[in-house]
This record gives sequence, structure tokens and C-alpha cells, in this order.
Amino acid sequence: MSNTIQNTVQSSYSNIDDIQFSTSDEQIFIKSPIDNVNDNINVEGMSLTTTRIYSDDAFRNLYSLSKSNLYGMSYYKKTQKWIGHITDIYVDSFKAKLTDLTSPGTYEIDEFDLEEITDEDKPLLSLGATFYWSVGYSTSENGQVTKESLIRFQRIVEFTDEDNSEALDRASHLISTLKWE
Amino acid sequence: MNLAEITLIGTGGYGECVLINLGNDNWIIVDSCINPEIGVPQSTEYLESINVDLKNVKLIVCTHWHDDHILGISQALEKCSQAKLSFSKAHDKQKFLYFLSFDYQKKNVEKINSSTFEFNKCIDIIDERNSSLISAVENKCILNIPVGEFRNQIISLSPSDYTMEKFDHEISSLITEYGQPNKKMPTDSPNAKSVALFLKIGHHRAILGADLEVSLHPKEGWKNIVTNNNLIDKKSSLFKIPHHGSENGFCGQVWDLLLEEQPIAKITPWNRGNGLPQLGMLKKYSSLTDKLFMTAAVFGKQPKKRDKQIEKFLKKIGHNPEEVKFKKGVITCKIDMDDPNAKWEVTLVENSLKIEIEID
Amino acid sequence: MLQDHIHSNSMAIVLIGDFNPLLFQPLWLSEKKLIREGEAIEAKIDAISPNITLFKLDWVDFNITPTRLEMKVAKEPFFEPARDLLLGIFKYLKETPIRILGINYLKNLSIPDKDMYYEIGNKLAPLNLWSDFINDPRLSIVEILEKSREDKLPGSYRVKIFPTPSNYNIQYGITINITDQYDLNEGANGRNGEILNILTEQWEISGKRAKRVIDSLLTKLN
Repeated sequence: MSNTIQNTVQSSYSNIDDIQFSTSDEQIFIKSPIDNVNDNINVEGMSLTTTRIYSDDAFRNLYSLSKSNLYGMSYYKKTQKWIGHITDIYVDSFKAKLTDLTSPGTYEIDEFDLEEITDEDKPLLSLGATFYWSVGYSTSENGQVTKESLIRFQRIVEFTDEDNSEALDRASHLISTLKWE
Repeated sequence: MNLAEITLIGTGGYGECVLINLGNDNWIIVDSCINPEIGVPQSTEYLESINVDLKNVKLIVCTHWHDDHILGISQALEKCSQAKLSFSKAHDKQKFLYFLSFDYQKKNVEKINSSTFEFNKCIDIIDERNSSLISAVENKCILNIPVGEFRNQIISLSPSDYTMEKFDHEISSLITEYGQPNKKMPTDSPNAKSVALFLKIGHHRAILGADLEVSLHPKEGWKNIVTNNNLIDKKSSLFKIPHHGSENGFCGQVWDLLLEEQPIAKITPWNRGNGLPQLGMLKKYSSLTDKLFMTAAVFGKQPKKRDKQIEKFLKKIGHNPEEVKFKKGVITCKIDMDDPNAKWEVTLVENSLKIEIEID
Repeated sequence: MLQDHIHSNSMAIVLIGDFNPLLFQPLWLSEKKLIREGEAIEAKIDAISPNITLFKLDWVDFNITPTRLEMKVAKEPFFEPARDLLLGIFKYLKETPIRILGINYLKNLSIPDKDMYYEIGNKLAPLNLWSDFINDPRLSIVEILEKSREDKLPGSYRVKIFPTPSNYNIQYGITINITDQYDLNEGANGRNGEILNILTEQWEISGKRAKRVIDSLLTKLN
């Protein structure tokens, strides 16, 4: 964070006992006993807005002052999403059954190149594996629009011993209660 | 006149079901299918449309445990408060129930990752009701209903003992390979574990082939039925062709030994991949009977209609997801069970059609 | 039709309970394979302390204090992964007392012109009520509360409508914020994963309801 910004902030909040500048240089934290901190200051042609993020008796009020707000939000427009289950794996590609998350109803089948998978997700590729696929228009913080096709494999914690015991308990219960003819 | 009914409902990719009236309003439901847009089981929707009291459903048969075959079955069982449930029982009950319970847990993180959700829900319902399960194995009468002078019966022809012993070993590898909560067991079809049924309705007989395949081993699938059945007393005049008319489901000996000449034959198509039945098999079946019916035609693949810009983008990145369309067809067959000379009356509803192919 | 002017969707999941902010760190998440290692390395960490932890991954922002955890997801493709991540975190931090779940759906509309924009405000709260004593009145925020939940579960349901924050760069932007809040059943202490079970069971239902509410609202405002 530039000296100008730091100095401007210091002088704007001269009545405040503690101003901390975060290491990311994108946020400034202000601790204050007072509730209404000046919520807009202008510096270097930019407007910084405060957001109260926490307060308690010991901590007083903690405000975050963020210049990254100025660059806008990143978001998606026109998204189409599916959840996929891998049904076949070939040398360079795989096939999946796709359940439409955007307009639920009928399902679809499609084939994907292995190159579409992020390297870190490749170990998760296997028959039956679950993944999310979305296509849409992504707008970055600085307003750049790109068309994106994103595959992300589902990451869920494996079943624990406790889960296995629960399954066993259910099975045991059913064995003792179910009547077979 | 004492009318019996066998109605087949097909959907093209969202399951199939058979509704059977064994006479005197004693109904049986075999498997289940849904309309994916609204999620309603087609079996109970049909029965309610013809003013059947769902309390008259005596039995629901589940020919396979995988959800893809039985979509909506738990809703149907819930609605049919008097129905018992029948399915093929593994030899090692404990292991099978553990396998089911293990897979069922996936609903706690991602329900769609469970392949046995429907089946498990059915078991929960039966457990809550304190009702009975009827195991379906080869050569077993699973329902016996007196109707007039007759004892109308539903007989399970499969799976064989040999098949279920093999399945006990398979269960462990299924748990190992697909046991993780972020994995879904693929559909196992066609297969030898499927429950084929023989129906005795008055003077008439019918065979429902489910997804039963022709296996290499003589003690499995159709070969085992042809060789080892001991409850088929007469040839059948109606046949629900197994596994969407695929080659794997075709057994010439069934046609020679278990079916009358020119029986009513019904197929539900499968609109995935290259589609089933293939033309070659349709020709084969057409050479065996001139009374061949399908719940809908097999049709070409088209992408799902969606936002134009998304459609364009998908095309541009080389993706063309093929939609598995919901195409419902209903083939209703009724017959006077008291009349040994009666013929099945066939009614075709929605997309169902009669197949007429010129044989070369 | 307002349905033609949808700009973007975002969401935030909020948990109220007892948390230790120090435990929530990007590298811990990747060690547990809940996120990719690269994402943990690239994370922007603003604070990690007993009183507050703030960090951003590429697709989710975390804000954790001793009593509140918030995950903000600005990009729609990451809604389900965010839910999975939350469930995964508390699978490891099993006995964390969690008392309230709030699923917030935010839909931003980009209204094409000023007149239509003000007309929407006027429909939500007729401005002629105010114009005798307030100069040039404009609607700032409207919030509607469902007094008892439609599904009879403990909690609340709120719909808030306000001008879209400036960082979306929408000239005439309106945000519809639905807060679907689930509380514990009476007698429950929140230590047995009750709230997370609700997150799994209600996720699809909650999403469908939010869509239905927004669609109905937009139709009425057309």
C-alpha cells in the first residue's frame, strides 16, 4: 500500500487508536471504540469504503477498508451447470452421464478430452467419479469477459470408521427385523 | 368375462414398468419409471388414471437394485400401502444389506451419487411397515391369487442360485471400487441377476424378460431358464422382450421352447449410445412374430434446447451433449382369462407403435 | 420482461456457532484434500488470528470469527463445490457446535433504463405515500419476512431488495437477496451435525424455492 494511501488514511482516522495495514496491501484494518467510522474516504482518485466485519467488547469495532472493491466483482453471466458421473474412460477421453443442474429434467451424455481436466484433478479421474461441469461467461474483477468451460472434480471426505459402523448397524438392524418369504 | 391386463410403460431412458391385473382387481407392479420433468412414478399415475384403488396393488417386484431401472419405485411403494416387495436376495444377506447401507450413506453428502437410493428407501418403507420381503429366485412362485377356478400366479424364473453366489463375491469389489462418497456405481445392464417372470393368468401365460441376458455359463440367464425351469407349464402368448431388444437379451431357445407361434412381443427402446433395439434385431424379432410392438421409436440424438448463446458456445468448444429424451409409450394388453381361445387385445397409447418391417 | 435482464447470481453461506478462527487455513484445507494445493498456495490471506480469519481463494471468500462463519461465492459454477467444502470442513471438525444455517441467494438484475429502474422501486413501495413530505423519494431497501416458514422447520425466510453494490458496475442494478435460515430444533445442541444434515437435505429444495420466489417476484414486477 502506497505511502500516500497510508498517510491519507492515518489523517482521516486521526482519532482512532489503532490502524493496521494488512500484508496483502489490499486491505486496511481499523480498530475503533466508536461505532460510526467515516465510511468513505478519497485518496489518489480512488474511493475506499469501510465494511464493519466484527465487533465485541474486547475487540472494539474492526473495520476493513478495501481498495479491491474498486476493481469490481468477478462473476459469471449465463451459466449452464451439470453434475457428471464418468461412465467410460478411453485413452484420451472419457464419457459421462450429465445431470442438468440449471434446468433439471432429462439427462445428457457427452465425451470430454482428458486435456480438459486440471492436472491437480487428474488423480480423481476414475469410473464412477463425480465432477461438476459449467460453461458460461466469466467477468473478472477488471471487467474482462471470457467464455469458460470449467471441469472440477467433486472433493468429499472419505467415509470414516464411524460411517462404516453406521452402515453395519443399519445392516444388522435390517437382518434382525426384515421378514423374508 | 374375466379380464386380465398386462400393460407396459416405456420412457426411452428413465426406466420401464409393467402393470399386471391378475383378475379381480389384484394388481402387481414390476419395476418403475418416471417422467423426469415432474418425477412422478408412471405406474401409480397409470393406475390412478384408470381408477384403480392403490390398496389393490398386492406386490411390487424390483427386477434390479440399480436406481436407473427403478426410478420412482419408492414413491410407488409408499402409495401402495398393502403391497409387498419382491426382489432377488443375495445369499449373503448381511453382506448385501451392508453393501446397500454403505451406498445409501452417500445421500448424506450427495444423494445423486447413490445408485441404490430408491432400493434402500423401499427397504426402509418395508421395515417401517413391518411388512414382508419376498425373495425372487429361480423357480419360485412369489404370488398366488385365487381367481374363480384358477390359481393365478407370478413365478420368478431368475436369478439362478449360481448367479447369486457369484454376486456375493462381486459385492466386495463393488464396495472397494465405488464405495467412496464421490463415486457412483455404473448401471449393470444387461445382466444375469435380473428377475424374469412367468405369469399364469387363467388359461394364458406370459413371460416378462426384464433385462435378463444370455450368459456364457449354462447355469445363468436364459440358458438356465430354458434348461432348468420346472414351473413353466405352458407356452406363453405374450413376451416382454428383455433388455430393449438387444442381442445380449436374445435367446432363440426361448422362442422355440417357451413361446407360442406369433406371440405378442413388446419392447421398450433405449435411447442412449447407438440406441436399442438395433435394426438387425428388429428384423429378427419381426421374423418371429407379426405382433411386435414398441413403446416408442428409437430416434436420433439431438442436443437439449437451451439458451442460444450457451448452445453456440458448446458447439464452438466441440461439445454436443446428447439429450436422452423422455418418450413415453404405453402398450396395454387385455385378455379374457376364462376363454382358452381368447386373443390379447392390444391398445397403443402415446408414442407406442406396431412394428411392421419387410423381411428380406 | 425482467427475466431478460438477469445479470448474475452469487451466494453466501453463513453459519452461527462456536468456531476457532485459527483452525481455518488454506493449507489445512488442501492437506485434507478439500481444495487443490495450488489454490491454497495462491490464497490471499488477510488475517489469521484467534479473533478473525479472512482469506480468499480464487472462487470463495472466507470470513470466520468465533461466532460466525461466512463463505461468499461470487461465481455460480462454484456454488456446489462451496457446499462440499463446508461439509468437508465440518466432517473433520466434527463436534463444532453450529446453531444456525443461512443460505443466501443473490440475484443481480441490470435494468436497461432509469425510468424502469425507478418504476420497480415504486411498485415495491408506492412512492406517492412519501412525496408530500419527502423530496423526490426513492426506495432504498425493502425486506419481507416470512413469519413462519412454509415448510414448518425452525428458522426464517427473508427477501431483501436493494440497489446492486457499485462494485458490480451496473448502472441501474437491483439485487434480490433471499436469506433461507434454518435454526436448530428445540432441545438440540448443535454438536451432532444437525445443521450440516439440514444443509445436505435442504440444498436442492432451498435452491428450488429461491428460484420459485424470484421467478414469481419478477413476474409480478413485470
